[in-house]
Amino acid sequence: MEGRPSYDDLFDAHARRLHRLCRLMLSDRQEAEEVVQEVFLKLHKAQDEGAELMSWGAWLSRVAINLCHDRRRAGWWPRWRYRTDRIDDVPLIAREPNPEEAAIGEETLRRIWTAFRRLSDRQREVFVLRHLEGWTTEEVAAALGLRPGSVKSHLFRAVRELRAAALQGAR
Amino acid sequence: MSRCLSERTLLRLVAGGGREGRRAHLHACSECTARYRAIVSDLDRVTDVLLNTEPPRWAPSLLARYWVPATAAAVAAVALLVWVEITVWRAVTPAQPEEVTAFLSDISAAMFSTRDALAASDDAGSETPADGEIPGGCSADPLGIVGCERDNRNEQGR
Repeated sequence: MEGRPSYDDLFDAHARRLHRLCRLMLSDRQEAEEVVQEVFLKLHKAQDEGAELMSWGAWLSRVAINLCHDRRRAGWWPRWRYRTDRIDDVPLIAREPNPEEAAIGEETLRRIWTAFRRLSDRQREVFVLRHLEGWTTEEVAAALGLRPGSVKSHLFRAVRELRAAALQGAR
Repeated sequence: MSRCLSERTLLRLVAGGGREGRRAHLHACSECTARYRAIVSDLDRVTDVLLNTEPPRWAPSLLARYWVPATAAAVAAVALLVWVEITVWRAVTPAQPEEVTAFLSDISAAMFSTRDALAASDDAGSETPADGEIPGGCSADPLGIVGCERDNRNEQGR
């Protein structure tokens, strides 16, 4: 039988993915980093308590999603107040575009990101989990406490908006 | 053969919804399959962007950063003033009109009583004003500098 994965192994395997997941759900890099730290703190506690799970990856994702929900429930004021560029976030040297950015074009990128940000929180969550994380509709429904029909409905609206943004850029 | 699927239906199928009959049509119709694949390809592009690019820097505009809180503060201040006016100020000062009315009636009573006394003294032909009375005998000119129309008329009559 395969032994329990170590904390370091799990961190190496999932930290980057979780950071991306949280950043997409919260639209804030700093908040995403804080949530990921909290997730791994919970992992540390869970392992100390001797928890045995079939899939630590899925557990980490669920904890991250719940923490993102908690952050959003914390109120609009802190999020609005700190939704500004921090001085250490502002790049001092202009960054070269990566191959994807160069191929797609700045205007299309901006349009897609804007459409993504305009989605409702629920639509964004469903799209991220279904399309970016590759979960099934049933898994998304279970994680978010929704009916599968609601997941499909949110996903339909998200897909419609994002596709419109992508097409607009292609024209 | 059934009609081709609408864009909306294709999007529903991409999202995992849609009826079985529509899905069966999708598998049978090459045109709809091509349109379905185009949608999936567009979504792959969106996914690539979200996974592999940094979001454009979102700097809140000056409007959002300063004017929105300033406007909200101004509206709150006006609302507070209105509330103070309605609840506090009016509750504290309801007796004021009665006091003013009483004060005015006291003044007018005093003025008319002085005038009557002067008229009585004029009728008696007394030239010297009584103690405490206004010299000159004219209510409009208590100091007797200009004189008054009623007094002048009386003198011409004599």
